[in-house]
Amino acid sequence: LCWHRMAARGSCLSMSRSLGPQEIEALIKVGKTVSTHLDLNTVLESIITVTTEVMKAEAASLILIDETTGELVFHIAQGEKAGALKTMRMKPGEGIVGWVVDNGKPETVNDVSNDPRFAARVDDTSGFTTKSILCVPLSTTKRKWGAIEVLNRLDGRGFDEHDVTLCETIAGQAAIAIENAWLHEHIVKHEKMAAIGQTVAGMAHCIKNVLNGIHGGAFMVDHCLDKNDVAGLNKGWEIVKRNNVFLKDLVLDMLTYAKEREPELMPCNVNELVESVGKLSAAESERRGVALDCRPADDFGEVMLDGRAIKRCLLNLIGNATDASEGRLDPRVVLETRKVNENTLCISVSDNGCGIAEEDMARLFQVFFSTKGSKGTGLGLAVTHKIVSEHGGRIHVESTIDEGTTFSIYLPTGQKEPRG
Amino acid sequence: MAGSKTVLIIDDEHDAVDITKTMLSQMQGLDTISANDGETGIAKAREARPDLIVLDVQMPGKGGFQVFNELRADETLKNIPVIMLTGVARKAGISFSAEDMKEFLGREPEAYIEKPVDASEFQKAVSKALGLG
Repeated sequence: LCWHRMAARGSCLSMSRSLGPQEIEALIKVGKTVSTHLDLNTVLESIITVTTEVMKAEAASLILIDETTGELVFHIAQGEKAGALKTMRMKPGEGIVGWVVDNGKPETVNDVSNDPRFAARVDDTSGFTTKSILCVPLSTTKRKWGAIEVLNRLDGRGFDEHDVTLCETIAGQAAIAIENAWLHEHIVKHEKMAAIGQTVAGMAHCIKNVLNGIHGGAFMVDHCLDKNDVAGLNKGWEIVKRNNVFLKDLVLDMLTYAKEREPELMPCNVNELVESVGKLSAAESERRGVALDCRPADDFGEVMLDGRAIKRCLLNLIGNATDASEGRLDPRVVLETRKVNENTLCISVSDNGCGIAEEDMARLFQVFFSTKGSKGTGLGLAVTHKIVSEHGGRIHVESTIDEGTTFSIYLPTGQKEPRG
Repeated sequence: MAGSKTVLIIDDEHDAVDITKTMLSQMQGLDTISANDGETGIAKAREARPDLIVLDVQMPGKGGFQVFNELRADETLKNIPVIMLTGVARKAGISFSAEDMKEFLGREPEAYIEKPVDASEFQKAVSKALGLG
């Protein structure tokens, strides 16, 4: 496409003379740069270098329109004293470049001192002395992007029609590169927005389920108060409380998931931690008719861990295991610790539940992915994975449909706290 | 009890089943039965031929949409009115209106109630679906 466009330009615009070998080489170089480099700034720097060389000029710059203010910004400036221009901003319409951008037409001014449009303050800032300017617009069919400006031919003669055509051809390539980069950025932004939208929808769904529980529980309480139904009252109140806990867990998981954080490592007795998690889960397991076995291994002493975060992981895993095995024959969840080697320990949660379907395996740790209907937040495993990774550990999952699942958390034992 | 109507509740959440039962208990002459998953729900519908089905959309395994389609495809069950309950249709990232549902399923449930479920709104929908005064 690029070459077609270049050819079209060449044939439409009457060249005062045909392109020389150096000029053809320069155009080929520009075309190659645009097609092979992905980084826009590399492309534009290279285009301006080629332009300065092929136009036999003292300096050249690429000016872009600021999307929000409409100001003209020196994006690339090359040549002596170009450094001062990096922070320079021109008002919309200011200078010869402003005129070119506004009118969408190229312009050559071979004696700037006689042109009222010339913005002398740019030279005042840079200390450069501009004698002649060739400026061509940077635009695509979609929009105006800015302009390329070439200053002072080295041989002292002014810029001519041939130079304009050559520079326009180069500008056409630069504009395409800019537009592609802009489109790419917008697509990425759009995808990010879509991801945020999905996350919010997932959260909204979760919260609505909790609200339903609280709302419904409160309704039951009201109803049973009227009827003096103590059993029903208890049931309603339990529902409200359970949803309160669910909401608290949801918020904690959301915060853990959202924050980039370092684990707060403290000396921890892993077996004590596992036993405390077992005790915390015992009542809920019993209520749901699932046996919970806690099998701590021989003592590993104290290990540096973020105890609270690991507790959260284990509660999540036990919750999942309980959901998976509830209502099955002799449902059982086993919480185990074992020493893998001197540097690694393993905490595993196994169940004899329904197992994980193969197609769900890949999405297991994906945020807001859940197969548990309204019981799941789709955050538990995502958070567990994050916490374990933050510890430099890993999670291994083994599952057989209708037989059960084991989640094993491998953690580095790291530095042990000196005794004493 | 003569003239009483049977409502089948299909919801994976025991709490939600209890809440729905309580809401129905405030209305006269309704018997309730329940199922905790779609498969069992359809089997119970065939067995009991309820007068109304209250169906949760988000269930593990056979989801509410699938259950609804199967009910409508079954000659003996397709005329039983259905009230659907849901939070947000998460996969689509939006909440569905009854019109969207019609487009999505080809058939519309008798009512579509979003969580958190309001008792009086739910009871009105039940009365209407059952043709009660």
